[in-house]
Amino acid sequence: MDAQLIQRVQATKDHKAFEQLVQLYQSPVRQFLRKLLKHNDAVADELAQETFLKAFLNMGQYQHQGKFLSWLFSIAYRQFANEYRKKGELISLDETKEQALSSSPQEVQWHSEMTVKALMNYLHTEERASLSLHFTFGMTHQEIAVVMDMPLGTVKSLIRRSKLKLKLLLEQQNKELVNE
Amino acid sequence: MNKPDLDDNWLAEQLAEPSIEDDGFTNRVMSHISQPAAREFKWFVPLCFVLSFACFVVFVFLLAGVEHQAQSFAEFQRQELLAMFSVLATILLIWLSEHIEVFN
Repeated sequence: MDAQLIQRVQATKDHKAFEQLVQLYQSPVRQFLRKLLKHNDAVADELAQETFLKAFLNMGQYQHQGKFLSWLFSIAYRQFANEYRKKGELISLDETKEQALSSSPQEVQWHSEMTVKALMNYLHTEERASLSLHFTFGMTHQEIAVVMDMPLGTVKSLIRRSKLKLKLLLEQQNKELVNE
Repeated sequence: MNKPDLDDNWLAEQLAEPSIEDDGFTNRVMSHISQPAAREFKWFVPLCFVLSFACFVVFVFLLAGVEHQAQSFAEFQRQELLAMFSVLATILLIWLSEHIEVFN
């Protein structure tokens, strides 16, 4: 069904077909961007809108190789990177989190019931993106490499490193909770 | 939640997200769709004008040929009508580009 809708948009810029595609894929695209933007929902939804507009204009470039969702994610990730990384806004946020991570457990203000999702915010953007794509959206390492425009080996080590960081954060938090 | 073991299945369970309701998102996207599409066809109206002018020039040359061959006045009028027809056809195309979805 998706393939037919995509072909209709590619052939005639069919608005009705594209509307159905947006309805089908809005949820994962918005979830992904919300995760990247640390649940700043309004900004994430704005970027998601731009992602779909860009997808509509560049539909001809989609070659039906790989999942359509992966293609949408790669547009969303590029949009996010262009809008925010260049401005350095997220880098400064990441630095703040990095400081928290490197601080001693006593210096980190843990909330008593921080979920794994909340701890994800203490990871770098790329680490958060790779873990979300793999564990939330079930993408393979190869698919993530395409979305994030990275070599496969880099993606594998990125996921390994991110998992380790998350594990350290969980251990730190557990120690804190035991000491309380 | 306090389980520090990062087993892949456990992590996937922890990071699972509920589906986000549309809440007008699709409508907001679709309301913007026609604008960039129209921008894509920005060249269409100027092209129509250029084509119209080109047709007009071609017919004027034809008319000149007709004059040299001393055609009748009725023939002259017929050619003039053809020139006018090309202009009208162009105006019709421009109107269609504004109103018919296939151009947008």
